Amino acid sequence: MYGSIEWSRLDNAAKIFPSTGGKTDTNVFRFYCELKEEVMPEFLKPALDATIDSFPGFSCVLKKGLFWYYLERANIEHEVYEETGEVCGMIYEDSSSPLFRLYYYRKRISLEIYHAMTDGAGALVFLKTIIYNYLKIARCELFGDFCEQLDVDASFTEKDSDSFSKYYKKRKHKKEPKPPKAYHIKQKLREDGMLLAIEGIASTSQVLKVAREHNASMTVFLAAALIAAIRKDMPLQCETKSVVINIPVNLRKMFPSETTRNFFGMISADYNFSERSDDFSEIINKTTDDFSRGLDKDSLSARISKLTGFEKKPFVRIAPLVLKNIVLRIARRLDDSKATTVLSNVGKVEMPPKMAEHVEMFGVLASTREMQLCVCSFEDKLQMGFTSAFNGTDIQKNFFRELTSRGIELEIRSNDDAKRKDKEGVADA
Amino acid sequence: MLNCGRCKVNIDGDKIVCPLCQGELTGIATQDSYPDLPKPKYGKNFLLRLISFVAVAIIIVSLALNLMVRSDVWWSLFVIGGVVSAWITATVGISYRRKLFTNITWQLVIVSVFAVIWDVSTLWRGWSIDYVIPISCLVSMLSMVILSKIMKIPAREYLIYLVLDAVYGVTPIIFYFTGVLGVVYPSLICVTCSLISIFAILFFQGKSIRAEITRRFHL
Repeated sequence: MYGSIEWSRLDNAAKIFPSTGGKTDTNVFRFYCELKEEVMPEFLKPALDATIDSFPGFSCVLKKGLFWYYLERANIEHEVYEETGEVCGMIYEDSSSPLFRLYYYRKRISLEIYHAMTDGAGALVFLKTIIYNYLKIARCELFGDFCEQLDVDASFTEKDSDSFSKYYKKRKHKKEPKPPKAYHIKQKLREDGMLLAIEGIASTSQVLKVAREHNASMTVFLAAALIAAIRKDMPLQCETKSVVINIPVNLRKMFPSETTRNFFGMISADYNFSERSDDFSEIINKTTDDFSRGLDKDSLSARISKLTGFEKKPFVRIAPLVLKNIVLRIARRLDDSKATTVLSNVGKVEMPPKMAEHVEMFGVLASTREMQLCVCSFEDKLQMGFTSAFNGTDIQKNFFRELTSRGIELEIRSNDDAKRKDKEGVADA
Repeated sequence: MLNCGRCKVNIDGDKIVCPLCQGELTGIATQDSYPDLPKPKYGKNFLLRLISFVAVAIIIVSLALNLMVRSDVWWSLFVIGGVVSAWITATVGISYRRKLFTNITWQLVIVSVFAVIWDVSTLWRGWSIDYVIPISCLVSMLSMVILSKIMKIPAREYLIYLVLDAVYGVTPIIFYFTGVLGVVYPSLICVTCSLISIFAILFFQGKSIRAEITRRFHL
């Protein structure tokens, strides 16, 4: 097809995903776009097909080689499904499963995608193109032949390239300081093995204003609020442990790349309540410091080289896949144990102005073994989506009350099943 | 829209209690932006569990019967052997049900191994290597070719399995030269067909088989 390559290696960050994963930790994340009108499913399938034509790399399957997993181009028919209420369920089952699924429900179009194939930035470009094609087909009377183009300018090989290798450079590694002992949320797991999604929707400008009042960026402010929320749920005896928040960062901004594969790094912010005060402004100051240290270009580049260097070592390369799976599983567990939770801010989503008129908001959710918060904004709608494997909702409650107590207005959505059984008298939204 | 007085938030949908604090709600319910959660999937692998249960039950009953009806022969051991063989075959078949050609390859290995074990444990008569191995090898190669044609599966999906199968099909030549065979025809036919298949693949599909090997064995 179009002279594109038939198979490709997994990029550096993707290599961990097929070997790991569990019941709720499916390595799947969801991006959704809420339109202003009900979705017409009959137009969604042609829109998806048109999108795959320009992103052939997304139509692939994951196969096992003797030494590594790899992606192979496959001519599979991709269907569109109606949502079931479960978020970020299992996608990759075996070498015949497609690696993403497109759902619709009322006004919403949701894309669930396997992390080995792409990261948030890549998936967002893909979903935006689907929405673009959908609006073009479904609302052709408005757009006609003339249509503003999406800001996607990359060849197939650019989209398919591994940017970790591109920015890899052999270097000596400084010994890193020992990470603090991370606190882990102590709650019972849900019995049904599905993720509980609780989303808060606020006004972007309102949250930004409050963040500015605290001299903080949006992400720092939300991270600090999350630390404060976890603090309230923490038993006294765990106070010596730190609350550690991992924050994935999109490396494309600092290391130019048009790849739709994975290209993210990880920085972390930690706070120890036995050493520091509960004061919110002190949490903000410490988090700001941790951010600027983590976002330093040199330390990010060192991390890329360290991880990529590991995968290039000869003894790692010749180890059979079965062995790698075991080692990667343990490594992932060790890595997870160093963080309390993950906060992923995808940032501002943009659409061409004429299309944006038909879009209400964008949202993002991710699978997790414990709890994760994902954030994204579209115009004046800021979406904060918690996914949790736990039964309890105390941290989510603390977090959102942390915001409302500062005068931020919120709308809460959830997939929990505490719903009215008789639907009579339920007004149409 | 619904409202929680304690959390001071608006709540979407028709919830009974606040999703955050499980407190009481005021206001008007609207349509929920999430559909109802599906029932949890407890029924997964039900078939496998059923088969395993039946196998265990048969083993227990046959042992009990063997003890009740006194006899000089431990006939229940044969029943157990049969049940275990059937159980392994079925389990492999079910777990690879979505990968047809992997399944056929594994079934071939299982059938060969079991045949030899049964033959050895029932006073070696040589039927396993005389008939079972060559015939099952031929059958599996033939079924791969026919199935791939019927299901219109592209060559690269099954060629590697066909090659494995054909290479395996050449091994009876060892039995021939070591003189352990009682009947030689099935083995010789199997070796001939396997060799012809290997050369056919090499001449006509050499490129795609090399590509498949590069993919599967990349370092």
